[in-house]
Amino acid sequence: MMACLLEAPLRISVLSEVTATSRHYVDRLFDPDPQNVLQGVIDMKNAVIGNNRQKANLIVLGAVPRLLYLLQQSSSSLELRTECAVVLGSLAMGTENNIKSLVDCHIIPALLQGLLCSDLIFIEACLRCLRTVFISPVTPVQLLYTDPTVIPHLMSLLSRSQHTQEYITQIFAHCCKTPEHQTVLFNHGAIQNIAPLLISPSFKVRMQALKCFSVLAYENAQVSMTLVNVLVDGEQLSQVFVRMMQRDKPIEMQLTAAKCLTYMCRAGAIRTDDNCIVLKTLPCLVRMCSKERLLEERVEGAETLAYLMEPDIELQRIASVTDHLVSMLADYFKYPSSVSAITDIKRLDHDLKHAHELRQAAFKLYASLGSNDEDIRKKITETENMMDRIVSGLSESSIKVRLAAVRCLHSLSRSVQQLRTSFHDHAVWKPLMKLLQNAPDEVLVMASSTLCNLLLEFSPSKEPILESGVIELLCSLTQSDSPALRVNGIWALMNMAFQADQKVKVEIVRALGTEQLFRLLSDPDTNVLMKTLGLLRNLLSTRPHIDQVMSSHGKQIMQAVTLILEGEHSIEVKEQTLCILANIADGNTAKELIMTNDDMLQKIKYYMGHSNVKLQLAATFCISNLIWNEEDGSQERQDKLRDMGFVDILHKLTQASDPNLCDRAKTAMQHTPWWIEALMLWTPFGES
Amino acid sequence: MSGPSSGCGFLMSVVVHGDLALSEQEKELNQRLRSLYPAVNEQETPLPRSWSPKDKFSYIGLSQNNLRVHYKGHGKTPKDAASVRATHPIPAACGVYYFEVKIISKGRDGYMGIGLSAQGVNMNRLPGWDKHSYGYHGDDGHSFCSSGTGQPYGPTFTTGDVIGCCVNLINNTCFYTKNGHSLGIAFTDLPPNLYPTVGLQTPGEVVDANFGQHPFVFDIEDYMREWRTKIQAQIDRFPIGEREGEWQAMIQKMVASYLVHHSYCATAEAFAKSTDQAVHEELASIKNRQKIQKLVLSGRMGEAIETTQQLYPSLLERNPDLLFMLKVRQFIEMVNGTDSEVRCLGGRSPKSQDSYPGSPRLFNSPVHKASSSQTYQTSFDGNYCNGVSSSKGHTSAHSHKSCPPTIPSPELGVLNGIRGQLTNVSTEVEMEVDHFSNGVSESSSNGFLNGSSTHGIDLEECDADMEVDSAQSKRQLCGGSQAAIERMIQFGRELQSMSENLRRERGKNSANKKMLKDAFSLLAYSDPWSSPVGYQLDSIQREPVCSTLNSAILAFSLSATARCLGFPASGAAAPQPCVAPLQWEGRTVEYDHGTGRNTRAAVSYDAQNQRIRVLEQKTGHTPCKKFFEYIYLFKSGVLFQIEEITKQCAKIALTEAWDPYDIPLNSTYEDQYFIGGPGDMIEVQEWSDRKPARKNEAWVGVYTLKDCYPVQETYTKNSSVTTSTRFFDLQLGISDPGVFDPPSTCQSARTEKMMSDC
Repeated sequence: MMACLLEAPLRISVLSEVTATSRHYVDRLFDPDPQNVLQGVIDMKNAVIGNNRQKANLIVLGAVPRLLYLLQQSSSSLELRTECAVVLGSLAMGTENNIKSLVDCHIIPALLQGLLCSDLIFIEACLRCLRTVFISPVTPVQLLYTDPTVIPHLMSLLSRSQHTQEYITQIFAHCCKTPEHQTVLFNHGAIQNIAPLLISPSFKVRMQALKCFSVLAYENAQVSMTLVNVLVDGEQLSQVFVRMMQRDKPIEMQLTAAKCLTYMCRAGAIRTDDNCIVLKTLPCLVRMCSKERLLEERVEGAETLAYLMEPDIELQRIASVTDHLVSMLADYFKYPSSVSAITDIKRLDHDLKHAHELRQAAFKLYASLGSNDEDIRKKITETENMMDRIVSGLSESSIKVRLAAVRCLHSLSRSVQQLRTSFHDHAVWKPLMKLLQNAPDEVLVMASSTLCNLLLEFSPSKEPILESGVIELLCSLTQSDSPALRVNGIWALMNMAFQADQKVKVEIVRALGTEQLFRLLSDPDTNVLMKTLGLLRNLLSTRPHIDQVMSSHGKQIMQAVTLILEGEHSIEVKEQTLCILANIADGNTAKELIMTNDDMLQKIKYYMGHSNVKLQLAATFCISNLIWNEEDGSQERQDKLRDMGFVDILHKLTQASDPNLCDRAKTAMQHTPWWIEALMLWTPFGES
Repeated sequence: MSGPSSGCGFLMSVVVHGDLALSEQEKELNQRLRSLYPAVNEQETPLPRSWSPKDKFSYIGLSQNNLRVHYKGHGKTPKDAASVRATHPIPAACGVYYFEVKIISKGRDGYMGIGLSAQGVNMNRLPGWDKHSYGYHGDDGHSFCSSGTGQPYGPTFTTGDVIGCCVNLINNTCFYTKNGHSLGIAFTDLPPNLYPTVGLQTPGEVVDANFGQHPFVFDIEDYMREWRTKIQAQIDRFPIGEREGEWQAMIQKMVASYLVHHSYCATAEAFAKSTDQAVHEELASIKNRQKIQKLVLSGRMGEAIETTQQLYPSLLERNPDLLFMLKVRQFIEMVNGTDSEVRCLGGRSPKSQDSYPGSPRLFNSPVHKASSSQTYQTSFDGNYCNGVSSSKGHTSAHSHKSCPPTIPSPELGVLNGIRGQLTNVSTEVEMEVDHFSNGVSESSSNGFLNGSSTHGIDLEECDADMEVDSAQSKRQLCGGSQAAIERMIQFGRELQSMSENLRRERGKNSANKKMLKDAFSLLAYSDPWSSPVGYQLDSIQREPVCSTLNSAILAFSLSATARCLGFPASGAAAPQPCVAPLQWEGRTVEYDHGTGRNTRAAVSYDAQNQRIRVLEQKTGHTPCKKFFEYIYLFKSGVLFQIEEITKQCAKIALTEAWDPYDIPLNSTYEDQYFIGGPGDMIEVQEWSDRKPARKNEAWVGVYTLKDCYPVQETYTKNSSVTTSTRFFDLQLGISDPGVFDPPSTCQSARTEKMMSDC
């Protein structure tokens, strides 16, 4: 990498290669006669055009600081300053190394300073150079925002000429990368200033203005909401975008306009059933996925479409029948094709470069298409080699592809039928388990979420997964720093414990450890807490299991229940906890843990009189299990409970307005045999 | 003199065009159709505007201006299916055609099919089940492409849905839309002249068509815009060599192919000569077509048909509709008195024999024999002569001498009347008149003097004839000859039965039906010439017939050569090796079958000076990469080999003989085929073996049909070393002749070859 000024030893060694002519150009910049300097800069300009070698030479010889000096000197003539900006712009057109050197020489503040000059030609030259520097991936975007006066000044320059419009909008479009950038630009009137440019006579200006809106609106409700109300020449902005999506417009324009509308729709500014989305944006994006488009366009088209319809089942249904999209996407997996390898190396390179991008885009789109509708999922899994592609996608080297493949798998795993058939046939659990061993968090979240579904009671994959040591893995997930991973880990364990053998339950409790269980019960994330309680409930189902678990962990569990009931928790959490208590009350020996705990009985009593019916119901449930009269010692328990005033409460509850509560109280009162239904929690599909 | 004669069996029905006030809807329809299909001339090819009350199965009921279709059968089995076609086929000039159908009610089972079918396809079926029929069915969402078994295509459709059908006549595909969403391509390779069609199968099914009466749900304009832009870009980007003169060469080629297509033989020849081009079609073949065209344009249809059958056997057999059209024209010419059968009743014309020495059978057709008799021949001698004489004015070069300028015969009137018409039109058809008279003779009015002409005399004769004619005001059927009239009637009957056969075999064809009806209507008038159907007798009507036949012959000859000549060389000649370009530059890959190594090279090839320059890249196992340049100068018998990095040069004696990249004249034709996939359209011919220069070498060469560029050559040298060379990226000409000059380092060249392998 070249620095602004090279270190001496390096400089000498490099200089030996530099031709004498390059040195001559630099020398002339130091001529005492300003006229000679000007001529020197002009000659330099002609010498560097299209000559990367010459550009590198001049940079090595230290031309940049001198040019910047001349550009900034107020004593320099305007012509000289302009020519300097032009030469610098030309140097920036070279390699990435050139850009790095220019940035290291602080070219950006110097050029931004230059924009304060009143001369338009000079301003345009500075902007052209700034544009070239800013659109390079090696330039830190933040440099545009360091000086707070820059953005407003650029906004004010938008009215100067078509060139300033083109360069400035291009800079904005490239440098708006974070919500903070969006806010800065928005606050400085980007929308009002750029909207009129959408109908500029210059195509380049229109295109760059459009790109600005697509980056401004991305996941930004404030911008999107403002955009829908903007009028351009009396026409709504969304209609201007629709016109830009017409099929005879350049593809780049169609695609970018579709992105704008997509972002506005996702931000809630346009309804998903609006014609401009259903009849225009969606078909346009489907067209972008067709074989006729360039590989880059197909990637962008698919990703944008996936994003557009992610939350809307109706859009998913329409897209699934539009232009054979599902089978069209299968083509994304055919790169590099065998033909491209033979015909020419360039095409092979190009295909290879885009192959990963294409695959991940297709997986994303499949994931989005299949996220709600069972028929679409079926259509996807029936696409040629689809399951094989997902399976191999799970173990690809590119993280992006792996993530997208697992997202796709997750989406399809919401189908009971697919879980029972294709998922089992292709043993997708194997690569999935492998993926879970070692992957970045974002992949792990998706993979574990998918695993949750694969562990559902009816999934034939549940058995083999159990045998592959999944419990240890899930328990380790519950220790993750990421709340999403903790939820998924405990969720999967919960699903696994549902109607499971005693062996499995014991194994879960052993592997998780009571300490970890307690930690999870005090987890700051409510979701984690809820699923942990769910796990406890599933562990404490059938009577023998209840007694066994309680005999070994009764003390800790009772402690945890007490803690939660005493703590500040939502109704749902408390209800869940009372249900656990009800399950404990159903055990033969376990119920003694409650009966001997007066404090706990007081709590139950309290909740029977709670203002929330759900809590009342759960608490009553608990009591009715305790006073069950067909078991040993029921008489004693009933006596004790009567002494504690429970009968009165039950009496009162028989008058309750809620019919369920009323019924339950009556049943308890009659001491009729009442088999408590297993109060188990079963959550059908993993949501993430 | 006019007025229909009653009692005639085949009377033309009179079409009444009512002056109906255009309703708003019709106005809107007209406006929309005009803006959607600006290139369609509705006078010639009307657009579908409603369902046809005539072209439907009886279980179909129509209402609401024939736009609403309902089912009125039992709907018990698929045998109860019923369809209806639109009033007109989709004109090709539409480019992109679109209509929509709204499902008003799905009825009992919703077995509805929406699609396209050709004229004559059985209407007791749903669209898609039969040949030339295509449909998308609502109950299962399948597409049916001329088959009883559907393919999964799109979603199902039912009450309330709007289904659109778009025919792209540019690439012959069709896609459907549902509620404004494109469902993707359903059919490819569609035939022309399809009718919008719907079919229903169970009671209660009702659908409404929208042929443009209302705005469409799908944005078809947007789709059309895309295609217009696409085509425009295709034209804009049509590759034309950047080099000087290539534009000119292309335009010359275009002009030449136009001339050849229309058989302007002499002009084409002269043009080719002066522009230094090769005429691709055999001259003999052009002359054949010219001969046939001459016959058609002079109204001698019988001869034209026979000549065609003789020169292009199976052409008319394969195109019964074309044959039918020609026969109908022949009938009209009989009425006109110009057709050879009526003109020469009873005898053979010595003149004709002169002009068609190769086809003596012409006047020996069995039909002709049956109707001819010696008596007629003599009695109609004068008439015959007049007939020829009168047709001379516009066609035959040979007849004017033989005919006495004035024979006061009452029959003359008919013929002169015709000639009068011809002279009227001759200015409009300048080119045609010009070309068929090419080289020999007369063309009185267009001012072109082609070859040796007796222009002046001809005109005088004409005038003389005219004088006589003016005395005669009455034109007569078949030249007034009774025998000719009988022959004509008989021919009419034959035509009628041919039409019936055709309908049995190929289904209804309204065009054929109308054609025949119009022709027969001529007989309903005592003076057909001034009747409402008299325009048919106008010689200008021969032109479309002529051009249709000409195109058919051209297409036939092309396909005949393309299909590797399934027919013995009767009319069309066996394929001849094309002449490969003499100078080109391009790239090659040579595969050595022995070593299995590919060698890539850039080649400059100059057959004119017998020299080749090869820039070769030898790659072995990496990292070795060597570049060698070879300059073969066969005339000097020297080969220079230059190593490209050091420019080290070797000069070696060249012992091999010059062997051009071309197809030797005595090569054996192997095959002809397209390379690449659909639409790539590069057609090549494969030739093989034994050029004299390569006595023992097996050789196979593949050359493009269009310009004869090499594509692939495989040959075995001394029955041991076999190499295959692929040629690509070829450009005509040598951009820099300097490449054949060896570099200066070759002045002190070594004499042994350098090792080129890695």
